[in-house]
Amino acid sequence: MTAGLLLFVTACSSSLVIKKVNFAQPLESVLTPNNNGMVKDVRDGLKFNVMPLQYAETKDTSSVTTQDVHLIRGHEGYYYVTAKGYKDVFVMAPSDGTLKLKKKIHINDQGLQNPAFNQRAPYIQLLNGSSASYDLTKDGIKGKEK
Amino acid sequence: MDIRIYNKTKRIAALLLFLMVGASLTLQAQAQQTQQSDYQIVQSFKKTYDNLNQQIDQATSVDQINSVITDINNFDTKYSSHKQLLDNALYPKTYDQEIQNLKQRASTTASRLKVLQSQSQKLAELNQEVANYSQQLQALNSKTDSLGNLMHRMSGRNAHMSRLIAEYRKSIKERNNFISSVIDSLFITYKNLKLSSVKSEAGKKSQIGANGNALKLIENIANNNTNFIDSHPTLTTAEYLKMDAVQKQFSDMWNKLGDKLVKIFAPNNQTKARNDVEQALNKWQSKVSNYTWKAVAATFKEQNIDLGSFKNGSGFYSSLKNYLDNAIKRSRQHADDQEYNKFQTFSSLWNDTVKTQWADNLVKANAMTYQDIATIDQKVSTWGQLTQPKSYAMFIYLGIAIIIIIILAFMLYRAKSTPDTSDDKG
Repeated sequence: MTAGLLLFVTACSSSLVIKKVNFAQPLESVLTPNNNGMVKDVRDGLKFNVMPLQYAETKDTSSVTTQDVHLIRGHEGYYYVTAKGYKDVFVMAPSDGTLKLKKKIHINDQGLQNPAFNQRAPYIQLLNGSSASYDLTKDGIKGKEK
Repeated sequence: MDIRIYNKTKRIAALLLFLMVGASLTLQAQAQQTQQSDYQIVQSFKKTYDNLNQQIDQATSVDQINSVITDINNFDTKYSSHKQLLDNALYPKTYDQEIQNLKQRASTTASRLKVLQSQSQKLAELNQEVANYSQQLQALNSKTDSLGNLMHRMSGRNAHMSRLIAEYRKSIKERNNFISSVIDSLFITYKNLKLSSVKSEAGKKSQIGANGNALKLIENIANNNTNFIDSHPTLTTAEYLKMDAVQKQFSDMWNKLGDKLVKIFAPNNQTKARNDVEQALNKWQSKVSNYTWKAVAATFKEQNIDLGSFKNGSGFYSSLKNYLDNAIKRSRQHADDQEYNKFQTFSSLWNDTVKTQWADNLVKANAMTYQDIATIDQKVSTWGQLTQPKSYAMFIYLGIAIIIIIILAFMLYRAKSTPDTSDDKG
């Protein structure tokens, strides 16, 4: 009786946790910002404004200069976001109506010419055309994590 | 010895270098192969998929669809290695479903186009057949015309004429039979032809010219026969009746197939095409009907049988019925030798000509039914019974028999009443 009551109280008071969840999105989404910089992924309903990322990359928000935004969710639940011309990949953690920067992974100084994400668990593969590929984790490029 | 070892070492080094370069290139190629954007693969798959779907819709020949089917198989081979990725990307559909769908659609289209192709080939054959009919009819017309002309020129030379007349009759019969066979052939072939599949193809052909156009053939046959009747006034009643039957057959065929033929051969001008043919058929019908019933009436008149005037089969039947009813009535009141002679003349014409030579064509021309013929036949028989001369043979035989019986009875009586004298003698 006491044990059952204890279990009930525990179940009600503590948060329910499901472990070993795989958030991996099998295919990247390529989203085109509207005039305000808003992008919407019709497949999973994700919607956000890309201007903070553009500002982080270019220090300019006078107009939407970001072309197609490439986005993929890793198996741990982080979003990997970049766009053509960006020098970095932003690893964003979803939380309470926000996407919070977890890690900014610097790829190169020239900017990405033709970025594309592939789901290659346990990594996110970033391609830059067919010339270069990077295996990314939430902490950085594989082998170069800091 | 040292040099040999040196050379051998050099060769091994070169070989190793070659292998390393080869391995490096292979790895690089593999790396490049793996460095493909999944997103691009999916996009490319979708684009090609849509394109193939479009090609299926646009295919207009068996060759084209076969080429699309080959492309689909190549497409499947190319993307099957990305099946897992595409299953995810295409969810809730699957890669296999999409490929199956594509193959199924292509297969259905291929079947449809094969039917179309076979129908087009069939139509081409039919057009050729129709063209051949036109030529044959032309040849038969020429033959009959020339025989007719020859007969006209030869009139008076009896010995030669009888052979010519026989040949002329034969050519007219041949011509009628040929037109009947055209009707049968047109009916059987066009009846089973799928309209939707041949419309466009035939439409093109009809615009090219009259050759091979069934509509034109029908119109030509109708016009031809109208002219033929005018230009051959020496036809017999049986020949007119045969022509009338052929005309009816032709009109029946037109009533059943006309709509279809018009849609096939004159898709852009249906009303005019229909009117042209119907006008020609009506003219032919009117002409042949007029000549036929005049000829039938004349045949009876030649035998001094006045049926009155009639313009069609039902009129002919009514006239026959009235004539026989009156004759029967007359014979009931007073049957004499004159009436008997009338009966014999009529009976001979009815049995030897109408029933033997005309009946089939009267029925085929919808002029009379076999029931009508049987009704008339019954009346002829009744009339015959009433006009038959009375026979007295029976009475004569009966009288003779009675006389013989009386004589025999008398002789028997006499034999019994005579006294026996033999005992007196003994």
